[in-house]
Amino acid sequence: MPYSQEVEKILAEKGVKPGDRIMFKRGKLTVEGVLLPREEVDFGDGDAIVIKLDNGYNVGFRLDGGEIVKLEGTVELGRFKALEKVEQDKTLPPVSIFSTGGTISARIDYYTGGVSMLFTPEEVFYNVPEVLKIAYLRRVERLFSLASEDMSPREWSTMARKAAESLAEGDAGVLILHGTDTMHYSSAALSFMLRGLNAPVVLIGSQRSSDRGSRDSDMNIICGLHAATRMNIGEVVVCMHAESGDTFNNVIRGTRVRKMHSTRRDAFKPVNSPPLARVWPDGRIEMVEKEHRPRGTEPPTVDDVFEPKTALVKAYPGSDPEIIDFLVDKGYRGIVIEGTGMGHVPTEPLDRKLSWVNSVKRGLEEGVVIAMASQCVFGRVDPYVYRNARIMMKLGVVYCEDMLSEVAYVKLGWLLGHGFDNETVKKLMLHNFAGEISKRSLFSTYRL
Amino acid sequence: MSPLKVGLEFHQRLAFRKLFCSCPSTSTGEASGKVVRRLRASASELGELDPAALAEASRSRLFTYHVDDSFNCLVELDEEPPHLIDDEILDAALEIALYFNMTVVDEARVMRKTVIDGSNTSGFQRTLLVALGSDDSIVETSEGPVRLKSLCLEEESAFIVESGREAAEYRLDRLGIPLVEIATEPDIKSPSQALEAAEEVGLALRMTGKVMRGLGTIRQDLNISVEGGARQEIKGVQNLKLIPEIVEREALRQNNLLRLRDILRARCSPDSLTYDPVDLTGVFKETRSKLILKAFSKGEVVYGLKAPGFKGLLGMELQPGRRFGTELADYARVWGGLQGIIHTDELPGYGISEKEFTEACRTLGLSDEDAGVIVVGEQARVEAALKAVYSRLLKAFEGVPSETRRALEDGNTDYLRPLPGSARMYPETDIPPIPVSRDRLEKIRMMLPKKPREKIRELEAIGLSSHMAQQLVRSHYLFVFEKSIKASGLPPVAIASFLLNTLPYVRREGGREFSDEELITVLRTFPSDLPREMIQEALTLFADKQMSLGEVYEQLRRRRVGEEELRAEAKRLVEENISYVKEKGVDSVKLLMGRMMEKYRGVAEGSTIYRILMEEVKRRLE
Repeated sequence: MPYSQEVEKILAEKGVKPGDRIMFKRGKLTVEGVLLPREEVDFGDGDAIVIKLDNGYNVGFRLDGGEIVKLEGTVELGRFKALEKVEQDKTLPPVSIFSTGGTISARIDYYTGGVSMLFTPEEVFYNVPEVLKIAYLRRVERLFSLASEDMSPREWSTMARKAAESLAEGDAGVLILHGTDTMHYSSAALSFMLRGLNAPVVLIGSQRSSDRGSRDSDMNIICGLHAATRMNIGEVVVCMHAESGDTFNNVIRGTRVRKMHSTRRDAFKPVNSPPLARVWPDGRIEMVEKEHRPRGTEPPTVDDVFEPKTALVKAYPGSDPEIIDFLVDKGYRGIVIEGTGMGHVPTEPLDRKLSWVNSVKRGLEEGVVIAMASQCVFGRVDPYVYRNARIMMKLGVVYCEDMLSEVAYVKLGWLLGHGFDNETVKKLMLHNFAGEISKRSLFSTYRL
Repeated sequence: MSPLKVGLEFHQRLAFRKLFCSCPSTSTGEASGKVVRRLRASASELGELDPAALAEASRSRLFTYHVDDSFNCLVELDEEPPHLIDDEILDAALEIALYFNMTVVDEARVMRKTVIDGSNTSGFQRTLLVALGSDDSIVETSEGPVRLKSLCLEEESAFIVESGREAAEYRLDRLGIPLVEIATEPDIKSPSQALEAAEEVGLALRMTGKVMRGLGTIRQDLNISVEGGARQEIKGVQNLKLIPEIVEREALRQNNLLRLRDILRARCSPDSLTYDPVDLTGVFKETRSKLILKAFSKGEVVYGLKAPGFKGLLGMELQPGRRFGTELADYARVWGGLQGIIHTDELPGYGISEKEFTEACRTLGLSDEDAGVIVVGEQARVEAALKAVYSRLLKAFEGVPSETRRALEDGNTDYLRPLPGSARMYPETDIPPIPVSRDRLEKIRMMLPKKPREKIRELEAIGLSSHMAQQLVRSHYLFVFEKSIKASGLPPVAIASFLLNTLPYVRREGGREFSDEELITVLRTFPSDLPREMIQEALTLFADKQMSLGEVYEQLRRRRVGEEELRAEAKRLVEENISYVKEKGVDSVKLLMGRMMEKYRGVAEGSTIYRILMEEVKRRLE
């Protein structure tokens, strides 16, 4: 809540603005400190002026007839100290770092607590001096300052082009700093859009803000750079904490990774697949998955088309198939249904209106590609076990094997973007482009 | 001695669940798992690093946290944002603030105070300033009033299990327990006044009935300076009685450091002190000193630093048993992780020969007025230690450096870290500001507990002796007492006597602590037909054996000894000792009473035994 009009008026009369040193007197109370702004989306009492006391505490006091006295001195708020240039060791493997936003790119204004996006190479060195011994940061660039949930296919395309450009310029690998909420969508998109990848493209994020001593970002940057510069893979991967402790990171294939916890450091888990590798902050790398694409010599090509009229829909008890009708009416070209269990939707509910059969049938008839993945997250869909799945299969729904629903959504949008006919899209949905689908379900890979 | 200024800082745990999550504050079960973390130095306000934070960061230690679902959740593990503060916990803090007549803020804001010694998993401690003091918020002492400065509500840190240079281990059961921090202005002028003020604040806190009791639930920090000296923050005084001794010894230390400075300045200027460590390994090539031989066997080195003008000063006593050399050793320990230092004022010693001593002095280039500091250890540690020693030597020219120090059991203090700057504090962005309405304050104001003096009068009015009333008010049991008498069949004096006499006795004998709820439940329901001596047993059965109250009292009734048996035993005793009874008359009851109590303690009421015994003796004498 910003300052109330009344407070704003009094501050204006006194010529006081946030950052100024003031004294506030009311009854037997006298305090001195720096006047702070109130955030627009803040809660609290807009009639209370917020003061940073000299002992460091922020407190709010209502004016209530009290007096504000302007004192000498002003603090410039929200300004970050310019950091000194740092000499780099250019014999180390060159990498590019692209920041896209999210917690890992956010910097706090210690006065107001406000968060702003800022990103320079010096900042990386200043916070994580270890970096100077791992890689030569040839290029450090802020692409956008977007929260994870504000990302869209347009940004996937930008990231793909920038990564390809950097690899063409000879980088040993690329590091992308990303918000964690949708990092696994971006990693899947890049996995499809970067064809013939010759080096690692590593996505990292942070689950704890960078202002605190316990931040996970530094270790993720360190491990991410080890992976980007030294791993012998040509794939898009996510490199995040493997455990709650600061022990080691998992390197997980971009199409096999999912954020499985809203807050924990080890939120990212491999799904239906082992991690590709484990990386320790001291540089140790242990390969886990033998089947992977090795580094190559030719830089990748970018294939960054995407059909925006693609949707991801969840089936649940009582879910109304109208949602499918709506999407068909709106001209959607592809729909991934996140079905229950092995890929089920209601087909014979007591309330016939809630059967999805007619809506799905109509969608398919009108040329929409409909694919099925499981909301169980782990495991494989199977259209032959139960009757309702058989019905869907017979209608022409594509059952996506052990593909994550989010990955199926990205893949379907990407395939549709190419303008292939529907039969080709359906066939390609089951083709393995980037390790997103496999024929074997391994016993050891279901581990939470 | 120069005039003294002392301020106190109280940390009192509140008797509620944890401040920023719903974990219990009382669980102390076994840890079932471990999580290993490192904390990194944070770019603090305006991009500057705080010196205290840097001190820790330069050590980059590994922290192991002992965890268990019974006492911590993801919040304490810094794996989930803090939850909102419970109204009743904030109310307790507000009540204490109003009780002390402080001005409550209209909007409280949770802050993060940087702490990277590992005692907080996040790297900061959450704290909010709840109220500020004014000239009206004072604690009275016989040596004058002491003003209160501020009251904060904050989370307790984790309990340290083990600490080393490379690593430390903590348990997460304590982390997050709510505590109020109350600071006084530096109005205290003597050691005895410091103690009195501390006792008064402690008493007032207990009057609210919202505080935890038991070991470690309250601790004091002391801010002490003498004129011309500098403010020291002395941490973690758990025993109130130690306060005067600590104040006295700290004043002595500061005065001695000022004296040392004057001697030093008369001898030379700070410019003559330079950081030029000298490798002395060669000097000790053929040494017989076990200390050095052992170091050499591990491939360690010996280095020295010249301390110009310091001759005799390193051996100068600052506090009983602590010399200036001890202060230097503290720096070498904290910054270099070394056991200590050797200095020329204490040589020859440590098995170092006269020849080696002379040779070391020569290599260091010491003149008659100079001293030398020698350190033994790994190369990197030796360097860190000597750098710290150098910085401390330099500060000796200025007098007293401001430090955070630790209270030792004998009343001395040793060096912990530099004083933190105010840069350690920034907003907790995960918790919205908390407006405190006038209505809320008024409601709390109406229910404020009575002042101690008033309360004592009130207790006297219901029949407690003046001594008992004072004792009760100063004890932790006033709240239990008041809750119990309301519904109990026991007379107030009996309840007070149980709380003040029996319970401490039980504790001394190794019995366990009972919770307020357990005490209140039993005291309220204890039947009037059972002897009061059975209260303790009722508690044990109820609390430890998990019996229902009905079962407890039923069992006690079965064990109670009736008047008939008592009378028979009394008769027997009187006959057995008939010559004594005849000789002493009624006075013989005293001895016989002792014998009776040996047999019937806890199963029959003392007053009943006495009555019967008296009757029997009189009857026999007639």
